[in-house]
Amino acid sequence: MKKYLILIIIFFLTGCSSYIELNDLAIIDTISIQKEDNNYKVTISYIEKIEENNLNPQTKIIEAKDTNINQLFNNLSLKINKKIYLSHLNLLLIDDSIKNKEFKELINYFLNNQDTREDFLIAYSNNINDLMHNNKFLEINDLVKINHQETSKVIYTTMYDVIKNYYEKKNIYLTNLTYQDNNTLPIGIITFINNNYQELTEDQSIFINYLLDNIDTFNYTYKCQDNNYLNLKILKGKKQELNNKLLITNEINIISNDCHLNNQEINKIFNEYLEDNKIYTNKTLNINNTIRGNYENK
Amino acid sequence: MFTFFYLYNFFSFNNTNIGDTMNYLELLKKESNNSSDYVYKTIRLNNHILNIINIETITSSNDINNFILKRISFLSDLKITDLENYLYNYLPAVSITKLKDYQELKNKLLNGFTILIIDDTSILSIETRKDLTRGVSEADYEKTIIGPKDAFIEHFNTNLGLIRRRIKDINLQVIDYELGVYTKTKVGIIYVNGIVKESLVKEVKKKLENINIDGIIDSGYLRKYLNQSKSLFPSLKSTERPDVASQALLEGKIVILTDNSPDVLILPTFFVDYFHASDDYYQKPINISFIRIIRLIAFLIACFLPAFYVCITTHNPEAMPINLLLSFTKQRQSVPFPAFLEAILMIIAFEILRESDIRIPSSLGTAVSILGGLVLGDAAVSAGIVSPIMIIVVAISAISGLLMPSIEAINSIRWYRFILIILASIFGGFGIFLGTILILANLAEMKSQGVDYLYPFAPINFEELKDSVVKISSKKAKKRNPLLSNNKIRGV
Repeated sequence: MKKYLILIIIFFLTGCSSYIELNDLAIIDTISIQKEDNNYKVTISYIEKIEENNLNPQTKIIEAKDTNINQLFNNLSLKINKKIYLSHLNLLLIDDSIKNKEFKELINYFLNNQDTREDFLIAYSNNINDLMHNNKFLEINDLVKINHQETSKVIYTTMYDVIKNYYEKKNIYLTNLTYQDNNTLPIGIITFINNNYQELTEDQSIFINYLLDNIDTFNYTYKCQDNNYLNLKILKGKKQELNNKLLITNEINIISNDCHLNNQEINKIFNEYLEDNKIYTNKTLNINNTIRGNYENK
Repeated sequence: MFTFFYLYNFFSFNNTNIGDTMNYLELLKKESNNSSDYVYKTIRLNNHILNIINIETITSSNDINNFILKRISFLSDLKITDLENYLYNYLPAVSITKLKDYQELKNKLLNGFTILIIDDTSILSIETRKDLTRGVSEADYEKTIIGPKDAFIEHFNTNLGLIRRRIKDINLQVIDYELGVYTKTKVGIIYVNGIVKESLVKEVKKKLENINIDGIIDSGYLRKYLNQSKSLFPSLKSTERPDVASQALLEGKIVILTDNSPDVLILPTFFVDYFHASDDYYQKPINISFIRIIRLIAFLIACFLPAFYVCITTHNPEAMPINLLLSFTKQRQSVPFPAFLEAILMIIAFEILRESDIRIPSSLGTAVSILGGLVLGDAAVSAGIVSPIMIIVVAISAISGLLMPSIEAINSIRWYRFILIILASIFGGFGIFLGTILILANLAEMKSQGVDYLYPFAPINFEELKDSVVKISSKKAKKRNPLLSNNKIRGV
C-alpha cells in the first residue's frame, strides 16, 4: 500500500497538467520586435490553417503594442482564440530600434519563458513590415541557411548565439535582410557593437564567418593586371588565440593562377587580404599558410 | 458391431436379475441416474455370474467384443473354480487390475475401463479405452519456418511420448497426479533428473498437491496455482511445441503436462524467454541476434508508441520537428475527439477485430479483415472520426505486439499500452517515464518459482547474456543457467 501511495505522490509532483490539443495551438512562425515611442511593437505571424493539398500553411499577422514585453505577449493572446505557442518559432526580426536595453529585455523574456527554445534565427532588417507581410512559412530561414552554407556572406545567428555573445560582451553578428522588388534578399552581415549597428563588407562578412568557424572553406579571388585573376580555395583553416596573437593556419589550394604569381607572392597577397578585413579585433594575426600547387614553375 | 450384437444375443438367455446381491451395481445405477451411455450386461457362465459394465462413449466396443466377450464365450464349456484369477491371467489385456472397492470401480469405469464383477465377490477392470484424440498435427500459434513442425495434442501419453522421442534418457522422469474432484485430470510433472534442481521439483509438487478444485479442463487452470505473481506480464510460459518443452527440460526447467490440453506449462520462466522463439536455436547466431533485437524493438514500439504519440501531441509538441508538427496538426484538424480518446477507441477497435478474427471460422476471416481493416479504417478517416496518423500509430503498435513468440506476452502488452497511454495523457513525457519505472520495478520485483524474473539482466550474468537479447555461438555458451541447475556444464 505504501508503495502505491508513494507512487501517487510522485505522480502529483509533476505540477499542473500541460494538456493541450494540437488544434488549440497558435504555432508562431515569425516574430518581429521593434520599439516605437517607448513602446514595444510585436508583430507575429502564426499558422492559421493548413490546407489539404497545399504545402505552405496559411499564416495570419497580428500586432500588439506595450511598454513591457511580457505584457505584450499577453495582449497578443487576447487577439487569438488559441494558445500562443513559441516552441517552434523560426525567426525573430529586429531593426535598429533594438539596442542594449531592449536586447537585455528580449533575452530575459526568452530565457524566462519555459515554452520557448533558443535555436531560432535572429535577423536584422530595416524593412520589417514588408518582410512580415510577405513572408512565407520558413522562407527566410531557408534563405539564410542556404546562403550561409553556400556563400558565407550571411550568418545564421540563433537566439542562443545572441544570448551567449551578449553576456560574454562579444560582438553580435546578424544577417541583414531587405525587401526589394517583391523579394526577400539577404544583403550581408550587420554587427551590433558599442550600442550601434554597423554593416560589414562582403569580404569582412566572409572573414567573420571564417574567424567564427562557421565555415571550413571559402574561395578568394584576386584581380591582378590585365583582368587576370588568381583563384584560391582556403581549406581547413585553424584558429587559435594566444595572448594578444591570433594564430591562423591555412591550407590553400590554387584553383587558377593567370597572374603567374609564385607561392611567396600568393602568401603575401592572402595575408594582406586577411589583415585588411581584420575587424573588431586588436589581436595580431600570425598566419601560416601551406600552399599547394605551384603554377609559376609550369 | 455385428460381433457385439451376436455375442450380446448369445449371452442374453443368461441375463437374469441378480438384484440385491450386487450392491455396487445398484449403487452405480443410482448414482449415474441410469445414464444412457452406461452399458450393463449380465452373463451366466456355468455356475458363475458375470456383470460387465462399461461406458460406451469412452470405450472401444471392438476391444470389448474381441478381448473380453469373445474370450469369455470360449469358457462356457469349462469348469473353472477360481474364475477371477483365471480371467486375470487369461484375458489378453496389458492393463487388467483387481479392484478393491467401489471408489476404484468408479474411477476405472470413468477412465474408459470395462468392469467385470464376478459373482459379487471380486471385481476386475480391463482397459478398453476408445481413442478419442486427434493425430499429432502442426503447431497452430507457434509456427516456425525451420525446425520440427509437430505439436502437442490433447492426449497425455502422446504428449509425453513426443518428449520422450526427443530425450531418450532414463533421467527423464514423470510424476503423475490426478487433479480435480470431478474431472480427475491426469497432470504430470516432467523433469530431467540430474539437471533440474530438486528444490524446484519439490516446490512444484507441493503446489500441485495443494490444488483442490472441481476440475481441470485445460493446463491454463493450473496457472493461478503455480504462478503467484500479480504482474501483468506472465511468469509461466506455455507451449504447444514438444521441441520447446524438450529444450526447457534440458535447461533444468520443469514441464507440466495436462491431459486433454495441447499446451504444456514450462516453469520457471524468465522475461527474456518471451523474446525467444523455438527456431532461434536452428539458425545462425547472427541471424538470431538480429531477429531478437527486432523483437525487442517491436516490444518497445508495441508498448510505447501510442503513449508517445499521445504525449507529443498533447503535452510535448516541442519534441517534434516543425514539419511533423504541421503534418499532425493538418491531420487532426477535423477530428472531434481528443488524441487520448482517439487512441483508446482505435485500440479497442483493434482488439475487437482481433477477437473476431480468432472466433470466426477461417472462411470468413478474409471478409472480416477487409471489412474491418480496410473499409472501416478508410471510412473512419474519411468521416473525420479518426486521423490517418492515429490509424498508422495503432496499426504499427498492434503489428509490433504480434511479433512476440508467446501469446501470453502479446496479451500482456495490451495492458502496458493502456497504462502508458493513460499516464501519457495526464502527465505527458513525465508520465511515460514514471510508467517505465513502474513497469521495470514490477518486472524486477517478480519471481518465477523463486528465481529472479529479469535474470540474466538483474542480477546480471555475463555468461547467460550470451543467449539473451543476442545469441553468441552455442560452442561458446556451454554453461547452464546457475539458477536452474547445479549441473552447470552442458554436454556432461
